[in-house]
Amino acid sequence: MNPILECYGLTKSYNKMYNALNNLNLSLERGQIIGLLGPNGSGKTTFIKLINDVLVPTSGEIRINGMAPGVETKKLISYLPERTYLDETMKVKEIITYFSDFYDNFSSERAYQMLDDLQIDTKARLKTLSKGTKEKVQLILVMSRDANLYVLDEPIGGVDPAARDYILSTILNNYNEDAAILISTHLIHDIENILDRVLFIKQGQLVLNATVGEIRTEQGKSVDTLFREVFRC
Amino acid sequence: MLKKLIKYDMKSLNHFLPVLHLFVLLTAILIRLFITGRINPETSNEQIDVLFLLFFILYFTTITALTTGTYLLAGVRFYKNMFTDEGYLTKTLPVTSGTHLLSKTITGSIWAVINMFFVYLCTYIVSWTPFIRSIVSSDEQEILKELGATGEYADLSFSAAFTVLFIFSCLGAVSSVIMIYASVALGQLFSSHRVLGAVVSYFVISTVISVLSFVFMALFGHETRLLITTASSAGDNFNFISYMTEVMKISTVLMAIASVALYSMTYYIMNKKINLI
Repeated sequence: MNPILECYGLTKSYNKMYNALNNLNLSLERGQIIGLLGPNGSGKTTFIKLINDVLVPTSGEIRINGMAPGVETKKLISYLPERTYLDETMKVKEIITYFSDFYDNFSSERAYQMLDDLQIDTKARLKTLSKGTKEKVQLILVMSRDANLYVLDEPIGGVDPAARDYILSTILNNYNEDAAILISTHLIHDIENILDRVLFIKQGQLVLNATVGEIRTEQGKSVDTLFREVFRC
Repeated sequence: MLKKLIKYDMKSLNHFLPVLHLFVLLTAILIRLFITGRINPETSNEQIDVLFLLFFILYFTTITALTTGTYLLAGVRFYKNMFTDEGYLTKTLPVTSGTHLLSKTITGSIWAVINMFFVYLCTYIVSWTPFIRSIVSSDEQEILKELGATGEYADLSFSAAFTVLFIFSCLGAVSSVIMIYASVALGQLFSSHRVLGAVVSYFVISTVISVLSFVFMALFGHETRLLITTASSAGDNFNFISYMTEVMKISTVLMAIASVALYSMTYYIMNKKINLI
């Protein structure tokens, strides 16, 4: 089976002086939860945007299931950006219909179940919900798809610890071995236990690509400790 | 997917535009009832002047606001849905950029044409009073003849002229929607102040099109001032209908060329150049 994600010499610059992402080469297999870790401005979000075709690379290539970003790859990827991307005038149930209309692999039943678990009113308009609740709604929508690659940019940053546990268990329960999950976050300690692999990005370059097991056995450290060492200010 | 996109785009535009248009329709009815409908042969000339001025200012302001509002809302929907935070969802739907553009163009055009229909309907309501109708119907043939309905245009009626004018206006409305979207897309090529970039782009495109129209009209000998001067010096009567027909023909061709070019440019930008930041 193809790797779910491949990059060759992937570079993105926003101006001539600075590359947000610099010659990134990478191949990721399915069936794993991957932490995309790095300090602010290291290029994590740029990488995620390139995967999702909301940015155009300056040079290099990116392949999702062997295909360049486009309509077919968008069917495979379920993307949670780090911002509210829904039309806030819509009601929660209307947004579910919207996702159901456009994504063949979206399960309305699963979405309603999760909304019910988190006691979110489906008749409420998004603009009337708190920031944390909006984030929960977005994550529920994203995790209600049977995607091949879930790309989650800071999925737990704005929610309370109780909801965080629910979200992490949701992530674990809703993905299968044909899928991979790429999570970008600063809250390493909270998600370390669910990660299979970590990617450290520094100044737009990959500085580490290893399994959590390798880090623990070979270096005798937790991912959190290693992160603090590598990115010490 | 196109049908689904159109459904959601129409739904979004339908939040405001029907209310706006019904409000203007109501204003037109009120103008007819309280201003233009009161002009009759017994009204003194001074009163007619004041009423006419009042009607003109009120009506022109309302219609301009309605048309501007319609295009503005279509442009804002395009911008917000494609290039702001909402764009992160829109752009990651399994739909091509071309389909997004087509959906937005269709929905924007539908509302632009509806708007044009309302403009004509409101103009009819406020101006086609019994007094005006009696003047026009008694002298219809004479008025048409004065405007140039002779020779090949001898069979022309007011209704036929308005139908042609309405179709031409609708084409212009669709062309305007395409131009607004092109401006918004061009604004996205700026590294910052993208809304300002879109506004600047709009004025640049309008100016270029105006200059090109002027050049083309002049090339075909239909530049207004030139034509009237030439006609007057030659001692001929200026035929308004013939002149307008020629102008509309050339404008339609120009509009079609500009629209195809701007649509293609917008498609290219959306497909190859968009970076959501």
